[in-house]
Amino acid sequence: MAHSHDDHADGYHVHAHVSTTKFNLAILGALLFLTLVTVGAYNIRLGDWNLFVAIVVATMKAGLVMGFYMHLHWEKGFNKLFFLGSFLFVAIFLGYTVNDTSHRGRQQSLSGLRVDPATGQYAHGTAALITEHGPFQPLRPVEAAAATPAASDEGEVEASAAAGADEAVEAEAGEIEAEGVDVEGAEAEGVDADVAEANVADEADEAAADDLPEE
Amino acid sequence: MASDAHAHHGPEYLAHHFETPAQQFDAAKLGMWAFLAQEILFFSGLFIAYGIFRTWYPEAFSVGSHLLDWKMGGINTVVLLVSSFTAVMAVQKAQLGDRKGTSFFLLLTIGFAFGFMIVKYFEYTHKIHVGILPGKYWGCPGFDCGSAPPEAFFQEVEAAINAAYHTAGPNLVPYHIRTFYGIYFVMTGLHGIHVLVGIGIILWVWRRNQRGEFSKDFNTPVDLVALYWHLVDLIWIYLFPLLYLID
Amino acid sequence: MTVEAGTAIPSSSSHAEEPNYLTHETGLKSWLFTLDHKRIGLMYLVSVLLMFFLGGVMALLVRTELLFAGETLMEADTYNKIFTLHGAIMVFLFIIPAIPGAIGNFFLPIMLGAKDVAFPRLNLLSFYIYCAGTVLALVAIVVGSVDTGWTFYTPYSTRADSSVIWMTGAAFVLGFSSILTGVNFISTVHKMRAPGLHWKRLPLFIWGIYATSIVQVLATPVLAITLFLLIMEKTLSVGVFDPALGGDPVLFQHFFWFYSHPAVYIMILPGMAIVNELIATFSHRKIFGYMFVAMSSLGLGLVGFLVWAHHMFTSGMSEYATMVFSALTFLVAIPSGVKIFNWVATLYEGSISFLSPMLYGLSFLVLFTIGGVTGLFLATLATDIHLHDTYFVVAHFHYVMVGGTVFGFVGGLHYWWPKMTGKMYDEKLAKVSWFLVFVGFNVTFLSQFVMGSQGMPRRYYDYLDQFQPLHMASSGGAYILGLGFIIMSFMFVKSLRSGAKAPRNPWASAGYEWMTTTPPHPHNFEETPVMTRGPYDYHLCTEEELWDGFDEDFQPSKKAKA
Repeated sequence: MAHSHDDHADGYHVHAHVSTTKFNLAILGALLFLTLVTVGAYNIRLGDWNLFVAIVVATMKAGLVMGFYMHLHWEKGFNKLFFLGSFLFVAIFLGYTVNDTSHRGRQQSLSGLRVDPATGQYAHGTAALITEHGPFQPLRPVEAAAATPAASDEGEVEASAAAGADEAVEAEAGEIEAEGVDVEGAEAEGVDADVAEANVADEADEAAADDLPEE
Repeated sequence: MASDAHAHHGPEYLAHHFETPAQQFDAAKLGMWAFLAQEILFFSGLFIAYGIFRTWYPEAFSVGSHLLDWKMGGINTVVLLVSSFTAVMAVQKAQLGDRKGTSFFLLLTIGFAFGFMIVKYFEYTHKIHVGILPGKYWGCPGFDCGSAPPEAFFQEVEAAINAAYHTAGPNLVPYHIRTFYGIYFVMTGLHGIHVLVGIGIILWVWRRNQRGEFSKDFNTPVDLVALYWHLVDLIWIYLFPLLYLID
Repeated sequence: MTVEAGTAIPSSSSHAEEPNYLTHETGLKSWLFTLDHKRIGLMYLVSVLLMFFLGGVMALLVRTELLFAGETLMEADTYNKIFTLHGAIMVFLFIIPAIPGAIGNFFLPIMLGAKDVAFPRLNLLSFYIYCAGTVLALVAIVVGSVDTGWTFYTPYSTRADSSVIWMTGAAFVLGFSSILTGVNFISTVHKMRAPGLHWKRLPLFIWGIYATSIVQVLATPVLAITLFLLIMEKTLSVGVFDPALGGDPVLFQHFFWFYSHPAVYIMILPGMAIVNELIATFSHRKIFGYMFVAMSSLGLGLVGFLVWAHHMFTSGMSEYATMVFSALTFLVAIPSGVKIFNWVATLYEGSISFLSPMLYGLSFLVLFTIGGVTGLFLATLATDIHLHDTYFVVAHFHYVMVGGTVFGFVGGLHYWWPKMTGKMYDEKLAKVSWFLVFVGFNVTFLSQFVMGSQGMPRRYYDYLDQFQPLHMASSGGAYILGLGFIIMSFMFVKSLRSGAKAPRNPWASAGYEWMTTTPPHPHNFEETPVMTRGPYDYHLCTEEELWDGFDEDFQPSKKAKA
């Protein structure tokens, strides 16, 4: 890289790699085979290994496309570095963001102020809605009341009146309180009960005031 | 352009500010790789949002994925892989100076791209019609939240829940399936826009090829457009298993 | 035939009738459709200066409102809009494109001895994309004005009115202008260097712009996708950022700052790049620790990617993440320190001419150091809890962005003005305006450091009585700063109208850009130059190269050569 004109002796002939048709066909074959593998892996239902296998196979395919179809294998060093280097920045982006999202609220849960989304406890700040709506909703509105027997108070009236699935969302005010009760019950995990109770009460107030997104 | 001050010193395709064709080619290649790196970072945001929400709400992603037709996605994967092959063949023909062959493979690539978009069109229209939509439009057929979703909506969701690996029990829809569909539509939509842009620029390169602008010595635009097209394929290679093939 | 640095320098007298880029073609069309990087650079310059003016007016409005507690000039809602516009215009429309777009475009190819950037048409496209983004931003102002702050934090921005879509759309479009400029410059630096110009001779201005370009290419797309997701959130309600739909607003902050922290380096690296040239030229001395300074630019660019969440210590982010980001943030001090110490070492035993560009260069050293060191206070977790979102932060980033980048930019503008326009300016007026700008700036923001440490929150419309004197001082400083800029504009306009003809090399610099005629030839150099020495090798320069055609009024002491 010391000299921009050193790269080509004459400078008038561009040296680029030319792949043969046979080679290109072979790569296509490999790509199609790997597609079969990934679909096959899906159909044997690997469960928790699903994501891992999917990523590994996709990366193998991506490697083939980048290396041989994009001619990266024969490309100049700096071009390789720049393009592949961009994945390093993606890794930084992913790694540090996940370092936050996967540990969010661990410390605060000890003080009872904020709670871990993973355990389904209430949180004031971010990710509050994970529990506000309840992680799951009944599919059909008619069965809504039956599926969440805890939704007993004001919410239920509305819920049973709701006809469309979209209207079930309106029943949330009730559901939130129902969830609140659950958490109160599950609160016996060493978190100071008073603080927790105050939180739950707070949460209900907040939810009522906050209401739903304006439509 | 004011190239009059300088006597032209090379072949016709050599822009006035380059010394040699090799310099011009290398500069174009480096610029393209830098642009592709930019594309990687551009899509990375979506993949990261995907990863975080999938870790947080595995049920939503599991059920959401089972609502997608993996066979459609699979067909599109094959279509794009073959189009990548035709793109690389167009480059090979251009490098060998075979103008007709280049045009043939470029057109074939465009054809596959259209095939991809047609399959996507059917997928999208079905989802919109039934009401499998992101965010507040979940369960709103045709984005119309005033009307109740059709029976097909309930049947499809029910079947997906029953087929999903991560599930909370029959009849329970994960709330964040809305986010899954948000991510699904943004990812595939943005990828679709890239396919459409690809169709446009391949068409443009095809016209230039027809006009006889490329030769054995100068075929950089064919090379660059193929690089772009492979990137579009590259993104889809990840999108397919990540969206359609969640257990 | 080639021109060799150090041998055949065009003498200013014999080339009076040489064609130059300003006059060899005329008419509006020759400007609007030009592919000449110098003309595109000038068009950028005019646009960013207009935006700087607009943003400056907003700043003065904000400071006037804060002159007294309670309502002074405008309602609280209007105030929110004005400070948002000040931030958004200054960041997206002025500071990011200013140095790479205007000065970089003009001088990068010249310093490389190239005829143009690698992709001239792409360069023009970048400029027009910038214009399109500007139009979108103006639409946003007209249709209702954004009041979210320039950071567009969710969930407020997802619920605010639709002008947010226009403003984020503008930033989205402007991002692509920035990316394409970056791609262009990377290719240019790698492939367009003149014979003999190897990496170890690359001017440090180029190193700085090159590092900036890499950051632009790798970080800006993340802003694009973030703003795209925000627009989707507002239109399609995708539920990624909006907590009402199960999204995570802190995730927006991660996305936003993954771009916007490196963007701070997109802003400051070009400022540092210019200061390299100022310090070397006006000390008439080889820059100290050349390779360290060059590598520290790349180092800053890289480290800039690792520290973004220090903007989010109080956002409710995981404590593990805050600790990691706090620790990493201290790393920024290393390459910054390397630069500062090397510049100071360059001054040592240099023959310093205190001309107006150098005054800005020296101000940069002082102000950037203050801005940088206060950054360390903010990187410390415990202190940040107290200082977060106070005027301390406002003062900190103004010291870096204005004291750093704007001073660098203005210094560069003075320094290269004769080369760009072919006219000299009034040095006395330039010194007066520098004095006002320097004093005004420090009065404005030093008082804000004090207010911030006492707890005055940023972006507030009203304040407690205890802050009254300091707020008045701060506003007063802002007026002095404004006056300084008005005098400077007058000085530049006067130079355009009646300035003396600039010689080839008015500062006796060894830099490559001074080897060509003034104003430059349409193709930068009549013949492709061959570089036989580095751009700071004063000991290798001939008498003629440095002092030929020197305007007596500006002649610094000739003993610098010794």
